Amino acid sequence: MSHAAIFPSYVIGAFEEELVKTRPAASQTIAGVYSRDALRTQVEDYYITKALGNLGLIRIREFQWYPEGWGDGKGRASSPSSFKRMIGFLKKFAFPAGQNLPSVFFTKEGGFELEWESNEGETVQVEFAPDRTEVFHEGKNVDEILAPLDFERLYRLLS
Amino acid sequence: MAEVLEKGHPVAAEEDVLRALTSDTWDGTRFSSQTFKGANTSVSRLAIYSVRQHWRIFRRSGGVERPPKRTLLKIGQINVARMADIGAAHDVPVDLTVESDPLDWNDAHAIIPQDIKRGLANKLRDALDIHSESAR
Repeated sequence: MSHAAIFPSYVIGAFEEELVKTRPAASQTIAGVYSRDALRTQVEDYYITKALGNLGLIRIREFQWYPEGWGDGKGRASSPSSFKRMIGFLKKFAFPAGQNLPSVFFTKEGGFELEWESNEGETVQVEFAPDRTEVFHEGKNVDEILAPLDFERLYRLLS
Repeated sequence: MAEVLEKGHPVAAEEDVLRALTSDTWDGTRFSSQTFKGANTSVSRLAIYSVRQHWRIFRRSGGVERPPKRTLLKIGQINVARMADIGAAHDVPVDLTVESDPLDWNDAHAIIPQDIKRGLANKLRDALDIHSESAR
């Protein structure tokens, strides 16, 4: 039986389809047990771990539990928009090989910031803020604020 | 021990200030630009309390650390004049200052009032001397 027959797309959605493509055995195993949300979480975990390692996964899941008012009382809880855009970025972007894994940080706005080194060892940062994306590339002298969904320009600045 | 200054009083250039480095901004490999990015960044005056005392102060209830979600991992130290020099030498020069801002739980608390952008925040981050807990 094909995976498509087991997981109709109207039930499992795009993330889950990706899991079927990338980890068919795992998707079969969990299909009958977990809800759609759990399945989505599995897929997110897969992409986070692939790009950022287990530490990155642990940190992101911990950040998502930070309550409103964390830190000095003004910290915002995790922004669903920021998280979703970061996952989309992690799925598509190829980080430089041979460098340390990228780091992930949490911002007071509830956004996520990624930092890594380019092949030339220069600092690169992308911040997924709730209402914008910030990109910094030390070697290219890039320090820009983009519309949140302007992935095209984001990838162009990083290429 | 130096005197506690009134709120808004400039902190002298020769003083060093400390910045709490917590789990949201340090992952064991890198420090985030968020350490200094934005306005009214909190710091604490080393002239009032030692680094050892600051570990305890930062962990007081209502202070920096809010376990289990946010934990204090390191303390960064920088000189006020050095910080001002970095701001002045930046591509778009910024006149960085430190102002006293005593709080109930830390009368050595101060702030950097200027809105610090990412590029300058990275330079300040890289200039920090880092204190580990094992060395306190």
